[in-house]
Amino acid sequence: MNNKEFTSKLADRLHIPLTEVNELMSFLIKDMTEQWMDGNSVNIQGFGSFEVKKKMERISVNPTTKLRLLVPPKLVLNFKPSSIVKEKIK
Amino acid sequence: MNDKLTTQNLIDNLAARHGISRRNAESFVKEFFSVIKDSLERERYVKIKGLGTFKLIDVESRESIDVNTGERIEIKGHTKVTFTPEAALKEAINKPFSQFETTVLNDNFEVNVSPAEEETIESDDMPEVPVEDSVGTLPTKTPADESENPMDETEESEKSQESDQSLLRDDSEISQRESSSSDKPTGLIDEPTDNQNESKSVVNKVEVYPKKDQSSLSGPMKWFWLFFLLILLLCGGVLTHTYFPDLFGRKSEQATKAYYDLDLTITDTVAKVDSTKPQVDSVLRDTLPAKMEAQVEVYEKNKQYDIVGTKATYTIQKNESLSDVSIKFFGIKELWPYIVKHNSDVIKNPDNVPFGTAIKIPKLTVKK
Repeated sequence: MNNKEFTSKLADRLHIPLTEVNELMSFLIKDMTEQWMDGNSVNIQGFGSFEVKKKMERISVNPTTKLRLLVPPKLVLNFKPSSIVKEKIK
Repeated sequence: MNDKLTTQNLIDNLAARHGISRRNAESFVKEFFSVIKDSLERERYVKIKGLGTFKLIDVESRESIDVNTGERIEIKGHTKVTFTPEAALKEAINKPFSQFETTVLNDNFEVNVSPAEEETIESDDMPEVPVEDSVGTLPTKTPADESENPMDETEESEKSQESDQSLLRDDSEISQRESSSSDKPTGLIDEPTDNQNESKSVVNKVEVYPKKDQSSLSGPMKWFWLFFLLILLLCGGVLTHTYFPDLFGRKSEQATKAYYDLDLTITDTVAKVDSTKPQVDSVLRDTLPAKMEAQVEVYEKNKQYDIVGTKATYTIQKNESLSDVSIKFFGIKELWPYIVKHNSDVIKNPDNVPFGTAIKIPKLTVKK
């Protein structure tokens, strides 16, 4: 399901015009992003949690060129589905 | 920082900051995630612009080991929910580390780096950690016991000196990292809190790199130390030569030994000489003068002699040693210590009596 379908579905369910859905969505995502940039995690009951995790830097080897590379540390966003969702999927 | 937000927080924010009624906000947020959940279940793939993609991925069953019992266990095939953030979002979240790049490593670092560890930011102190880590793999790592203050660590001069000497990277890169870490947004800079995993892995790196430091350091430094030691040895040799001139050659040892022997014999026989002298004289008078002369004149190297006077005076020739003089006057070279003893005021160094030195040749009689 791509974005268009998703937004239209959301609009249908909420009986809100599409433009409003888009606006609300952008607000919501912006808020969440701000939280993640601050290092906070977002926990949605019945859905899952988004966490920001730090990955240590590591040395990796390019198998073809055999060059040793130093991959720098980074922050990544992690999603952990809640048990309800996991059950549903099964 | 390290906060856990809930749907309620999101709703509140939405309502407060964007002028949306609380009721609308609540329904929107709840519906938003609900639709994701349902669509995902149905279509196995949901893409949301500005956020990312949720996918359902099937995993095959695989054999594994039970961690507790060690028995073989089968992990059944299942479906998992994955989320891949959008590129822009990834960049935004990784902003504190954005200036770092993957670089090619030259053969300067230990391979023994701890494997990549995942850690929640919640117990981390982020900007100070990157400094720690980046500095860690560069051999500028500071002791882990100070992991609480990684910023201070990087400022320790000792370690920075090591880094200067053994790093292959540009200093600019290091300073860039260090300065950038200090420029982090204030939201991320806090009192450092200890993260056990972090410090442990850091410890691994720390333990690794300082060792490496020492070994790589001693390369050029080693030569300086060797050179310095050599200089010291030479100085020591010169000093011993000046203060202990007799330390060279066996001859000098013999000389000093004979010297002491001489002393003993002479002091022991001082009294005897006086008493024996008239006897000797009478003995000498009894025997034929020629014989006496012959007796006196024949010197043997294993006999002890007394110095009874001066036989003659002599000037040392060029390149002439005392043993040569001894041969001249006594027929054998072994009697030169008597010459030294007789001329103790003149001869300071038996090994080196300068050309032209005037010495007295002692008169020697056999000790009885």
